[in-house]
Order: sequence, then structure tokens, then C-alpha cells
Amino acid sequence: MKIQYNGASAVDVPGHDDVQPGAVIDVADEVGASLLAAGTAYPDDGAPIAPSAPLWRVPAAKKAATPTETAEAGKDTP
Amino acid sequence: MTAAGFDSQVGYALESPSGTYTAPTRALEHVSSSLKLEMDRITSKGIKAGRRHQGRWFPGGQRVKGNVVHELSPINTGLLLRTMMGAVSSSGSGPYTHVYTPGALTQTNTLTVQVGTPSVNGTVNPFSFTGCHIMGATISSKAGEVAMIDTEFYGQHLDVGQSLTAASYSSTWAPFTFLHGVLSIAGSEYEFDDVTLTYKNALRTDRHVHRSTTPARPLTSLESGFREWTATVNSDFHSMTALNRAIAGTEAAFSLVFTSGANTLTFAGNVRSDVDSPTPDGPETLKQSLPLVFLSTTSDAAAMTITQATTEATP
Repeated sequence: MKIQYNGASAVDVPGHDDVQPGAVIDVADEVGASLLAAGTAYPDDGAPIAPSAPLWRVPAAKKAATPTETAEAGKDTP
Repeated sequence: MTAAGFDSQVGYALESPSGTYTAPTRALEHVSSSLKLEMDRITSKGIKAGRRHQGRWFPGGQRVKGNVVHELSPINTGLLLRTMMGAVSSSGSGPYTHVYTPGALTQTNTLTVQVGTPSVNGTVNPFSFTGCHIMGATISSKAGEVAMIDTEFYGQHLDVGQSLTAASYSSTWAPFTFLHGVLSIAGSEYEFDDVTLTYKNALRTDRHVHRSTTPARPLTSLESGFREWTATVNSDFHSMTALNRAIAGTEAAFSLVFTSGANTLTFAGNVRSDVDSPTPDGPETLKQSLPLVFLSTTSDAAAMTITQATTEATP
């Protein structure tokens, strides 16, 4: 999975050294899920509390390209 | 696949709320960890006619105790320094300056310490110690060696039900060695062989009480007594200057500065020298030991302040 680093200074994580702030890296799902949870508190009797400023997040999905209409659109192909 | 000590890891997170497992936000290269859960057993005193063995027992109170030793670095150690001292103020921008002073050790100053502990079946088992206060620390530097920080923890619980957080180390972490350390006493450089700074937080621990929620765990430790910073500096017997200062009871400024590139870590305060006079007990050059006690009638911060200049924005 791809995850993005939001920290303020470079880190080494399993499989990736010198990950700079803002960088997106591809890691094993287990590692990614673990890093995404960093800073989350797990009370004994309640729902997990996410950190106010997560160090890692799933990068925003790229917007799908809008199909471009052309003069040829809709015409039967001979 | 087996796993061994080289697979181990130590990660930290500041807890919020206190005592709640919080997935580590940073890992520090470690030298050793002796953190352990202690669980008391309560044995019945009841006598049952004809029974020669006491067979009845109950689970008792628990606590976490132990030390974690790291090499002393200007990077990624801010969380430990903050939790140890109680107060921090930050300024600047690349490098940042973080100033740690004696402050309240409240419930906002507990850590989750997760120790990845490998077993021979290839699993690195997460031992998540929660509600950990720093009871004290020893910072040392010896000629020819790497400077060290040994932190003593007291915590509330070992949670073995959490996942191991992938270790996230600072890319720029590097320890200080003796080549980086310079000591000044009373404004003059003091050449030395080794120095040991010892810190005790005077926390009241083992606060087990009757209560409805997790009674086996101790309540959060409380400040209960005066904190103590002391130091011992060992060197050649340079001259009578230091001994005269001790005999006269003259207080002096103390400054131990580690510098590595743009990173610095400074332990500064005001010290009283206790008397320990050198003795000629052989043909070798004489050595001198300076026992120092940090104190100030001006303020706690004047007794000891730790200043860190680093590339890290957050302590």
C-alpha cells in the first residue's frame, strides 16, 4: 500500500531509508497499517482516539481523467 | 526463521490520556532494555485441618520497572528529555532550540514504551508498557566511548494484546562521542576523563488502592519530594583550584556541551562542589574526583536546564 509521511524530519522505516516529509512510499500492507496507526490511543473501554496530527496518511487519490469530447465522439467506426 | 536480539526495537509515544496504550510515534536505536512487568502474588494464610501445604493464592498488584539505555544523540531524544524534566519551550526554525526545565510531572508526561521482543519462532513480540514515568536518568560520557543516556522507568501495565508498530527511526540520528563533549566549570574549560550526571525525579510510586477500574495497576505516580541532579567528574589532579572551591563552599557555573555539526546538547546549571581530596596511593599521576550537586536559590531552571539545538521541530 502507499502511504504519505507527514512528519517534520526524515525517517527510516522498514524497507525505506531517508523518507522525507511529504514523500509517498510503497510498503507492505502490514507495515503501512502499523505506521498509519502511529500515535493512536487505544483506551481499555472505548474507541481508538486518532492523533490530532497523524504522522502518516493514505495519499489523496488522483482525480480520474475526464473523457475529452471530440468531433469524432459518437460516430460509428467504419 | 528465527529472531534474535538484533531484531528487537524500542518505540515511544506520549500518552493521551495517560495510562492508555498509544501506538509509538518514534523508535530510538537502543543498547538495552530491562523493562519488565512485575506481578505480585498474594498467598492465603488460611489453615485447613490436616493440610500441610497452602494451596490458595490470588493475583496481586502489578507495576512496570526497568531501564532503557540509548546512546546519547541530539536527534530524537527530545521526547525523553521532555518527559524527564517536565517542561519544554521551543523556538527557532531549522535548527530549532528546545529548552527543558524542571516542570510539573503530571499525567501529561507519561509514555507508552513498546519493546519489540524477539522469540526464536521468528516473531517479534510487542511488549507495550503503558503509564511510564521517567523516575531518573544517568547521562555519561567517558574518553574513548560513546555518550550514553540510561533512563529508569516506572509504569502501570504491560499490554501484550497490541500490534507491533513498525519502527520509524530518525534518518539523521547519530550519537555523541567523547570527541563532542566539552565541560566548563566556573567559566573555565575543565579537561576530564569521564563525567556522570545522575538525575532523580522523587516520584511516589506503587500507589495501589481499592477501586473499581483496573485495581491491579498502580495509580499514576505523583511528585513527592525534591528532585536531585548530581554529577561526578573524574580527571587528572590538575591543581588546587577545584578542591579550594569545594573547601571554601563556593558555588560555580557548570556547563557540559556536546556539539556535533549544527546540533548541540547542553547540560547547564549551578553547582556546589563537595569535598573529595586526591590521595597519593601509588607511583602514578594523581586523579581527582569532583562530586557536584546542582542547586540554586534563584530558580529550579538555574539549577539545571537542558538545551537542545537540533533539526527537529518537535522535541
